[in-house]
Amino acid sequence: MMKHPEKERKNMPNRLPMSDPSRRKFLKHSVGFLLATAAYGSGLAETAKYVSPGWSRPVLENACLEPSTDAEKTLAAVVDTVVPGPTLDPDGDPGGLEACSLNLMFDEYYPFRTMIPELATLFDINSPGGSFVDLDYESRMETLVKVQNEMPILRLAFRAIRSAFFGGAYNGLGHEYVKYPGPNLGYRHILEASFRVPVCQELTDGWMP
Amino acid sequence: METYDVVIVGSGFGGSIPALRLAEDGRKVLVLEQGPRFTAKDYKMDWSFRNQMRMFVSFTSEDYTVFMRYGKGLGGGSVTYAAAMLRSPSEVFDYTDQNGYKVWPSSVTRSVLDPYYEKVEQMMEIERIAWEDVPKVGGCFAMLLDRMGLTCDRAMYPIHDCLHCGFCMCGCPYDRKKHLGLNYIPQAEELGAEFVVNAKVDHVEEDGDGSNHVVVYVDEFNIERKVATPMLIMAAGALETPVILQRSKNYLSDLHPQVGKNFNQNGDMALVFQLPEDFPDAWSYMGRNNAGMITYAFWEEHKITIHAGGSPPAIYAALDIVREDGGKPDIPFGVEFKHFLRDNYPNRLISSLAIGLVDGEGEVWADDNGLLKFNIPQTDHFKAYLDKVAGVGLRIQEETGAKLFRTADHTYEHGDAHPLATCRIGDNEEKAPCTPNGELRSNPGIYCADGASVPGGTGVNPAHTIAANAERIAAFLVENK
Repeated sequence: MMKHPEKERKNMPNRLPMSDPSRRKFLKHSVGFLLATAAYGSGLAETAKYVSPGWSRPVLENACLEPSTDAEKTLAAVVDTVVPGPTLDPDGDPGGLEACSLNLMFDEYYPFRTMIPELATLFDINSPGGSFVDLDYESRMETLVKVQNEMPILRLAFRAIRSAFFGGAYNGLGHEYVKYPGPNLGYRHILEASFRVPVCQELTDGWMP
Repeated sequence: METYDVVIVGSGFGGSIPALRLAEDGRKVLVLEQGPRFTAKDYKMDWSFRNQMRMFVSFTSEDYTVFMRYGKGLGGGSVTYAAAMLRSPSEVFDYTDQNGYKVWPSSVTRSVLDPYYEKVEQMMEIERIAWEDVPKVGGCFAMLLDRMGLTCDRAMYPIHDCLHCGFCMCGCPYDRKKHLGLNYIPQAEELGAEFVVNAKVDHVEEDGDGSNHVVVYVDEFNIERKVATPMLIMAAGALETPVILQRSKNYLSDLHPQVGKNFNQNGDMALVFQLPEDFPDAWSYMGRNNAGMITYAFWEEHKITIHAGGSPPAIYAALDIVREDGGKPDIPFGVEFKHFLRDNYPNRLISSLAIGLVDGEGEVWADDNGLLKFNIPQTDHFKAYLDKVAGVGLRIQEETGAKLFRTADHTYEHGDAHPLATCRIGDNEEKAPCTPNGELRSNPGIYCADGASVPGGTGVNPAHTIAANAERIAAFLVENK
């Protein structure tokens, strides 16, 4: 890993002032810090009151839909190929189906929901043997790449499937998978959000002349 | 039918700024906004597409290659913008297109706009981000430039006491990001301006003697209403403003044929990098969504700026990232892609957005049902621009050890959030639907003051230039009663 930029770049101009504070300054800063911390804490408590409905992890309001029709089974296989679940992922991790991506089909926000039968037919007729469900993983991938190249709009359908997992549309499995903590009350208190020091030379005072 | 001195369609920068200035002048002002009135408690920290659809109106181009969206709600795009407020470089105002047409009017230059930029900066409390607030992802981006021996600058924002939660573009739940609902709009309301939300404008008509325009809209109860005005300001954004005008074509005596043409996506193009192994972790979901740093190092040679972007995981679901050099992942789905994100998010991937000067060759139009359609053709000129930006990305890859990713099928993602120029101002009567002061040449009394009127790319995030241009047009309307 690279050394901390503050240590590595201490010879650059415009460093943070690192002069030794006098005892008075130290006390002044300490009191200021404590007051600021207290104010910040009370501020967090206040904001937590009104953001709590929004920052809770997405709640699974309905169970993951189970495919029943042939078209739904085909699309379930597509979802399981785009974001593979335990049966296709060698590591056995959850995938799109476990993240309820199939619920997209009935989601009022999903623009493709009215095209389910047509989409399923499209995948089946482009599959060797006429059934996407029956293909192995490699053949499914080849089929999806082929139909995507022929119909660029399908990129958007695949994005939506990925988004349902990684974007946490229905549950938090995708967030947990990539170690994204999700909603929060701010990161300043753990001082992890910034390197906090200059890391490069600047050309302007903020914008070009 | 009620009559107002001024009716404004849209409450983003192009609408709320004239609303305040004209209300200050004592005019009776009505603003119609199609979205709801959000407050901080309405903003959800939720990057899922479901919440995005709640906060934005989204469209895909007719050839499915470009995705565009605009913020809905009182305050327009300011509610969900990433809040980089940068003055456009002087050369922007001298830009000449491939046909030799100078897109900005000769009367509008950077020095002319500077006092209006200053007004916006005071109102929005814009200041330069401190190093202590630059998100790590912005710091990593700057370190890439530094490794090349190039500069990278801290950018300007109307954000104060940021908590780094990383949800600017879902609407700041802490109101630390200044938006129009915290300054221009409440001040205008205090002066008597009326803001009606959930009011979707269908079309505009002319009244019998042509002295007034009649705005026909549907209110929140789905009831059709009409208001009349001698001064109509269109500020529904570069996507909706031309479509409303085109829906009105049969009700107006004339409409400039260039309305909806010259659509410019501001040269936006997403670049994703995998950080060199010796770089520190980026924690890319922390901090403001426009991640604090912008480089002007490529401006002189290429007229391109690049700024770092924060990245919730949904970003990598929405971008088809594949390795530029043929490495893995080469397909943006499947096991390899899934494992790649698991192994590299959030610390080893950083997203960035290149913005640059390119001709507006796209078009926005209303289809037979009056619905918004758009296209940005892949012309040789546009492809050359994309290649130029990709070349800059490749240079960063070669000189830093970072790995560059394509972000769309066969190319890079372009478009998204910065539509401009569909009712552009300009000196040429045939090429520009609006006069330099925003009045539609074909329809005296109708003005455009939003991103639609900004005639070309802004070289940087366009919000500040849209706002300053709206201040300029508002000043003209106040001075010329």
